[in-house]
Amino acid sequence: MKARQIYSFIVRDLKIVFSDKVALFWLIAWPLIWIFMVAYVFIPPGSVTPVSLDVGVVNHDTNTTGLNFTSKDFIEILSNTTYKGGKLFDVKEYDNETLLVDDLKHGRLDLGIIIPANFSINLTFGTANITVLIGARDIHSASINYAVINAFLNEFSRRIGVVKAEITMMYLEKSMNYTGQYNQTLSSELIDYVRRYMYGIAMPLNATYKEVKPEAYANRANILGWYTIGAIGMMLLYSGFSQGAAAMYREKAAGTLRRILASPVTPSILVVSIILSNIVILLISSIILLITGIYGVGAHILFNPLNPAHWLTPILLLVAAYMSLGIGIILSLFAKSEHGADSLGVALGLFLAFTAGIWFPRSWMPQWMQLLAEYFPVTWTLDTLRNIMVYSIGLTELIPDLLKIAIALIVIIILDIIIYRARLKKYITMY
Amino acid sequence: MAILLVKDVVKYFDSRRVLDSVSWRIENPGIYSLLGPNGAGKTTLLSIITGIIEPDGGRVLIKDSKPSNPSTRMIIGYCPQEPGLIGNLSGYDNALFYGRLYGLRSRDIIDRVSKMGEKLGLSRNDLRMKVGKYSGGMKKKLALIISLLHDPEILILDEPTTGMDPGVRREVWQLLLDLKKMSKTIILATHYMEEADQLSDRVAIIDRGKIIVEDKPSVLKEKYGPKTVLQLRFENTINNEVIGVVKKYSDKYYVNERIVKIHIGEPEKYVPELIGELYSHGYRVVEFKLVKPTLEDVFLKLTGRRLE
Repeated sequence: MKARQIYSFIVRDLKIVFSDKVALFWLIAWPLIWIFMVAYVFIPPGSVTPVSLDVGVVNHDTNTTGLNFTSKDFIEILSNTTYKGGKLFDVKEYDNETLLVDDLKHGRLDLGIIIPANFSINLTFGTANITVLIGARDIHSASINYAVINAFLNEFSRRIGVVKAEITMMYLEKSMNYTGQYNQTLSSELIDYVRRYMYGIAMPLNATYKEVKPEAYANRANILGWYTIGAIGMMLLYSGFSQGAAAMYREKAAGTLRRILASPVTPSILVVSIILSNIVILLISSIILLITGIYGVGAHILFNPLNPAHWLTPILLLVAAYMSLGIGIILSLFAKSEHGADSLGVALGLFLAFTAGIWFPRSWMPQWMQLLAEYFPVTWTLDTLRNIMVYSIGLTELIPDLLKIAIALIVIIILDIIIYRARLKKYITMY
Repeated sequence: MAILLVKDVVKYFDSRRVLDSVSWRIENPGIYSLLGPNGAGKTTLLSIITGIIEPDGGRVLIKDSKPSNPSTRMIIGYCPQEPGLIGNLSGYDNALFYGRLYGLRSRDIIDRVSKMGEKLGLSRNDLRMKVGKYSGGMKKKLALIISLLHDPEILILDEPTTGMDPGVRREVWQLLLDLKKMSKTIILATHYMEEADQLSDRVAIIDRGKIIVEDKPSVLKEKYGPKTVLQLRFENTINNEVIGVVKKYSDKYYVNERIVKIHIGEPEKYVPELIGELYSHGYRVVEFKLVKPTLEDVFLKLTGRRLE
């Protein structure tokens, strides 16, 4: 009988939702719009390639004849530097600084380089000066631009240093042979020692770089996987919060609560039915978003039935859906009507979706706001889902997060039971 | 074992006492009306009887069992004043939802709704339509059908015919009389005097949270009704000047457009006097007659107010 009653609520709510265009928009269309925006506007196909910067160069150095290192060589090296098969800098030469600065200010360039007169002479015989202007097309690019050109200039300086050391050694050897002071055994050891020492001056540290983790994030399919889970999280938050907060008010406002309470349905079965029917709706929406993410935009989302960790995904989706509804029930404490509860749920849900590491990565947020993501259990659940479905992290590594999630779930359930006993039951039977 | 036992029930909303030591007992199947004006406490009393809310004092038993008991609710059919229907769903879907709460199977629900719908003039096409497109009368019919889905022994109806046109109202009355023949107990809250008078085996008159009298309609009229009710029909709508004249003869009267009914003693003496005075003020009485007292007259006599 109880199962039939719960089934009745689930069927009713599914029919209501699938006949309500506004509800469908918020449950399915709105998160899908975001997934497609990410896939085709923010990260379009082919966009996740190594960084390439537009560089403007003004060259005041005209005296380059007969020199080993010239400003022309510098510009040529700059133009031909590659990273992962692509050119790192797209170089454009300017006649004057005014035009260069103008393009930087208008975001047409990432970097500006001003090569002063006598650059080649100073580079060959001493220390050359150069001015670098750092542009910024968005809030993150200034630091990226700085890091990239700084790395290039350091590498360029080191290589010039090595070449200068080689030239010096060549002259040293010639000089020793010419003066007849060359003792074959002793001097070859000395020259070798001096050579290594001079190389050390030019290149004191030789670092080896290996990419380990960034592959997961740099890959477009993985990024889309991350955002597909994010879209599900966003939908869970605003829909779950508002449904959890407003469901009981909604039954009362529609006049259905009176009839339901006169039936053999007990208040506790009523609450359980409403929660379960909303969980089913949220799960159906989540599955639609996952399928669209995988087959619609090519998101990298895995489900391997042979991997035990992957069987956690339906459970975690269920947990995330319940957490959203459960927090919504807590929010109902702060509302007095269906409209108030609904508005509070949607507003807070959207706010947290954008600030608590659900839709935007938490690293984009100011330090203090990152605390929201640190202590928000829905974020933990979604991050664990991402770790399983997008990054295929093993079960052992997930255990600490799973424990945190389990504790949070128990706390939310206890709070919901307390609220049900202290307020919701009273509200239901307060006609 | 009483079908319904209401004993000294008290209910407060905030500090307002909406039911004041209400007692009511129903022993046999039949139609029992709860007659009273809006705000008298009818809906609150029905909510307590159906177990939707708990009383603050006293007790309610249905066949010796508490109404909040799910097994008791299985024998109760309740049709609230607001139909409680979901506009986005069809008539059938609404019925399926509520029917399943009583453990009914989908096929049985569809069969019963279709049959009862035919009886009350709701076709299968109507039942396939979204309830949001229904008229007020259609919604009331569907709400009534839904409350009968599980074939309850006791049917509790809160203003079931409010908003219905007279023809449909008669159809519903006939349905209730048919149910009575099937030994059902029907508890009917209404503010329509005629409805209570024509359908009920017994009527409980409720006012300001108290049941003031309860008996058969004929007994109520005989016992508490006025001896004489004078009905005057005027050519034009009745104004304050007419009322002023009427008040000189009785403080118990009620007006309905061009008709005024007056509780009047010694009619042979006062009727000619009253009509003469009205005539002298320029008001022509088109028709006057002495009529039998109704339950409205009983209510007026007992409370000094109209049943509205």
